[in-house]
Amino acid sequence: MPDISERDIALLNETLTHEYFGVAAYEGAILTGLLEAPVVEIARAFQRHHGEHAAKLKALVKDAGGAPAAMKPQREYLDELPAAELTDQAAILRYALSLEKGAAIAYLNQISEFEDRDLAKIMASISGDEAMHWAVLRGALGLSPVPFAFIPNDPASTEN
Amino acid sequence: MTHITNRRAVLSSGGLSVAGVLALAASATPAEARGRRSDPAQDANLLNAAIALEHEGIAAYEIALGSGLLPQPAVGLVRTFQGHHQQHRDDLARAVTRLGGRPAEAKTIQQYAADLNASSIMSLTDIQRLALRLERGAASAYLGLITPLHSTELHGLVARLAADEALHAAVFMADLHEPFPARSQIFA
Repeated sequence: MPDISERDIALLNETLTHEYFGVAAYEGAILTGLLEAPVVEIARAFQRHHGEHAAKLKALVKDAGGAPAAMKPQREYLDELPAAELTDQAAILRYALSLEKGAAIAYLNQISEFEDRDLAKIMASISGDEAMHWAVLRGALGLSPVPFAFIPNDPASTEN
Repeated sequence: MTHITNRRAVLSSGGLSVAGVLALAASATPAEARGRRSDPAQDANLLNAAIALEHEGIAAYEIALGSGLLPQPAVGLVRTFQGHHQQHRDDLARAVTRLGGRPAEAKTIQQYAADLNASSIMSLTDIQRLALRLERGAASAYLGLITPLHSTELHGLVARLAADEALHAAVFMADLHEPFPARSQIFA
């Protein structure tokens, strides 16, 4: 991949750290033992997607001549989870929804910052995955499937 | 110049399929080939391809609403999604106008009905399948517009539209009990 800027590499690495956390968060959710089998299946599918995103981002950073952000030990990620709040399946789904929504919005907000258009396209593709995860989690929680024409710009938006 | 003129003629009538959008994106002069200079005309042309898809989506939902095949809860959902596509169309049209272009116009509902083979739709499931195909196609087509678009601001716009269509697609996948895609980058 030719002439990727340091700024683009930094953006990729920032996304990579989110994806590491996403993989660990789903592991933490499954380890609670509070999820029903079909929900575990969905969590594993989403976790696998995040793992693939991380692998793709690492490869892009390496191809660009950069150093991929390092993954922390899993224990550290698990310690960052709001364990006291994750008391039942619905609470876990709400937390997962907040992570997927935050990721989708944050990634979309970064796309215009990429200097390399191919990287912008890859990031948009990853954003699409997070949006689909978000929609599935909304459905699982019985929320209106898509209550807006445009995904909001603000990750702190009250619209879930 | 001739092929550009022809492309504009096609776009001004709103007549572009997902495959057509992807072909247009592939045939557009790569942005990198001309450095960082802007190219409002090409960007407007590409956004008009997106408007054509939004026109098609709006018409498809109109055909669904007129089919008599939708149960009441589905009518509400279809009207909501149609409203989203109308807002997407309006946002894209404003962007085309800002770029100095003329927003693509819609075809007649009869033409869309023929293009979408509406006479073959016999059930709610048929409608859901058509909607899923169009939403998936639009998401992929929008991703295909990012590389040839010059304006990085527009990258953000079409990426957001792709994600919106991904949300719609997820709803129809669930309705049709389709397994969630095993591989990531679903619309790549």
